[in-house]
Amino acid sequence: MCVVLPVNAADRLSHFLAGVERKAFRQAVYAVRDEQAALDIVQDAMMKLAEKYPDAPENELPLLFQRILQNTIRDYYRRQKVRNFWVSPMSFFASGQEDQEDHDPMEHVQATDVNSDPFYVLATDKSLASIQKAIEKLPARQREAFLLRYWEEMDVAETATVMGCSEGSVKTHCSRAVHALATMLKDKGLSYE
Amino acid sequence: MNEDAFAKQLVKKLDAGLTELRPEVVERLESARFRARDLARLKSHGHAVHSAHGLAVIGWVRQHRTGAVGMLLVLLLGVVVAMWQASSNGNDDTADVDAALLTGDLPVNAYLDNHLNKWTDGNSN
Repeated sequence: MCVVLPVNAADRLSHFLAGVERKAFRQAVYAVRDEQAALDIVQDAMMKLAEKYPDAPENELPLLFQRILQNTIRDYYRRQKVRNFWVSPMSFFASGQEDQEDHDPMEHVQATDVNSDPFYVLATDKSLASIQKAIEKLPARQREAFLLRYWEEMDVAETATVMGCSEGSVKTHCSRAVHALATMLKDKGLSYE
Repeated sequence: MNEDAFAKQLVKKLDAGLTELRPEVVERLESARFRARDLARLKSHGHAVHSAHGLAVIGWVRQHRTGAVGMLLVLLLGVVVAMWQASSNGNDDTADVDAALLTGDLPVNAYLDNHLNKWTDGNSN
């Protein structure tokens, strides 16, 4: 079998993106629960990577791309939050709850109904669909930590860099995420306890 | 089973699900990747052009070493001349200022015809 290796920086970048684009899309879908928005987010992240780091060494690309992707997802959340604030008349009363210490607005982003999503209709494996739903139901920071740490196989320090938090927070988020997933998937026969 | 093993079991299933994307999603991702590649190529080319200019200058200097040294000497000589000129002008300016200050001490009569000699004679006596 003949493998064509990329010869220049742009081809290296393209080769890298080809390997991570599907995971990136799934991560974005889990986060925003909207395929079109997820595609926009992944495309934005790819363009930002190409614009800012066209000549980045290959070993630095995964961390750079994940950082850009997570920031783009956060930007999407912020835009949604601003939009919801002006659209929903009740947002004024709800905003009083956000003054708590160590409050992370992303912790409160909860899943909507996803049963009609074609993404799940295509998931033929029932356990896979259950896992995907459970991941979507996780609080945003827990989901981010879980996916980066276990799916992207980043170490704790790298995950902390991408998430912009301490290593201790990463460990806490990961532990809580795994525990929550185990609880949600217990009736599907998936648990570690 | 511990937490890590359980998490790895879950992501294994997630990996298996990566092949289930709809064709239009795969096409859109591919299109985005191609656009990113083209942009990276454009940006890399921009950097390469800047580097090429730098390399061209270095190459010219290497090929015309004698000419380059001569140009450098001429430039150095020009700088020295300019500095010398500036410093000599500065001295002239200082002399003018000194003269103006000194003449400022003289009485008005000293500037009138015949009175300067009288005034100096009178002062010397």
